[in-house]
Amino acid sequence: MLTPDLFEILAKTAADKRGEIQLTDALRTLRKRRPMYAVEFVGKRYDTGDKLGFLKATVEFALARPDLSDAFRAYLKGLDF
Amino acid sequence: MAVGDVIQVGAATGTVESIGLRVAKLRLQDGSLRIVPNGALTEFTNFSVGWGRAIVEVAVPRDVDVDRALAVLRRVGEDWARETGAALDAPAVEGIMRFSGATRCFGSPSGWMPPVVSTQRTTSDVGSRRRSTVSISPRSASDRGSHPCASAKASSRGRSRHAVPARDQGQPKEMLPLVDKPTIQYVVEEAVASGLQEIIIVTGRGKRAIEDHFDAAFELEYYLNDRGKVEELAQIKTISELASVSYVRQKEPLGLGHAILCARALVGEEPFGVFLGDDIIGSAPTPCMRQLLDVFERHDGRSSPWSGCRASASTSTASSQATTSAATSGRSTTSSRSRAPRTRPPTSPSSAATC
Repeated sequence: MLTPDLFEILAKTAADKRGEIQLTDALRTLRKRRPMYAVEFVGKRYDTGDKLGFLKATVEFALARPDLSDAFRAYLKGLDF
Repeated sequence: MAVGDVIQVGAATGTVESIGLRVAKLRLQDGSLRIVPNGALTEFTNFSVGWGRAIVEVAVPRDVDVDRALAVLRRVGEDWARETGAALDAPAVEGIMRFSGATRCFGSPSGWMPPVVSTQRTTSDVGSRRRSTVSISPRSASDRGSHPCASAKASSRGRSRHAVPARDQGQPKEMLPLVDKPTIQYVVEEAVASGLQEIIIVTGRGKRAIEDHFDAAFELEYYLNDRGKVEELAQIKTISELASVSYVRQKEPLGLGHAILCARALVGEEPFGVFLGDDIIGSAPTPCMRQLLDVFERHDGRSSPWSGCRASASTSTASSQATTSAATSGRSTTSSRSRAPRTRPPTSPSSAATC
């Protein structure tokens, strides 16, 4: 959750050496002005931008699906590896 | 464009050494330094974004055994891929590209990463036209086009600008299905389940499929309706009914911070949540963004820089894993972002919706 005052900071945030404006840099500035809060959320994060992460997400999401769960579980268990 | 990129400006190809306020310095292939005024950088080709294809044309004499020449080219390509490890997808021989005056045959072993670019398709078209006379083109371009481009994401890690523009024609990675829904839909569903109703998706080049997905999906609706597939229809309809989705285009992939700035006008003076197109949260009893919103609302009021906005004082970002996703990631320039709802969800008495 971010607040619109961040835009002002973002607009003034210099690009890093790769020419990119990083959210982290803006948040660092914001943190000096006022408190920021962290939440330890309940849940599991999948990085689907990563091949392995994508595969893990696919398998776990399929196992969580009521319509696929049983058949898919049986299939995985029957795999020879 | 960034320092270290190989770009072509006009006839000059070289590595960007520095980008200053007025000029960029380009080290050409022969070692000389080209000073390019930034004003001249209106149109250039960047060879360092995501992936590239090396197209190698090999000329062979007219009397050569074409099948054998193609087999040799194929083997050379495979050897090269094995020895250098630089190929992201198996090199392939596209086939005969043209016959010159002396009737030469050109093969083209090339290494690339999917998806297909148009030049590849062109090459293959030529090949298939010639197929009747010479046996060539072991893999058609369309084979490769359907290859999911998961590797684009891998290579984009830590270099966000690689994430978006790498793909001009293929499926954007956010549209790759997890089980049976595109990954971006999980993200949008989390936003909606958290009580956010306005979704702003920051897109880049080659992301049109995302917009199409969240459109009314009219054609599919019609098709299913026609065949009485009521259940499927119900599922499809919810896509467009989930939320109001708007899009803003990030013209250049200049980082996550820049992507967020692109949505400034659409977000306005309201708190908003940031999602990344490839960050999916599962096994959460309460949607992850809802968990953040709950904390956000608990800390409302204090040190709020704008008036009439009770729920906006604190900026909460998820800790641990989520912080790394939301904050360090320059890796996805497509972030979908949701504005706080205008109508407050019944479960949240002090929702960000008050803003």
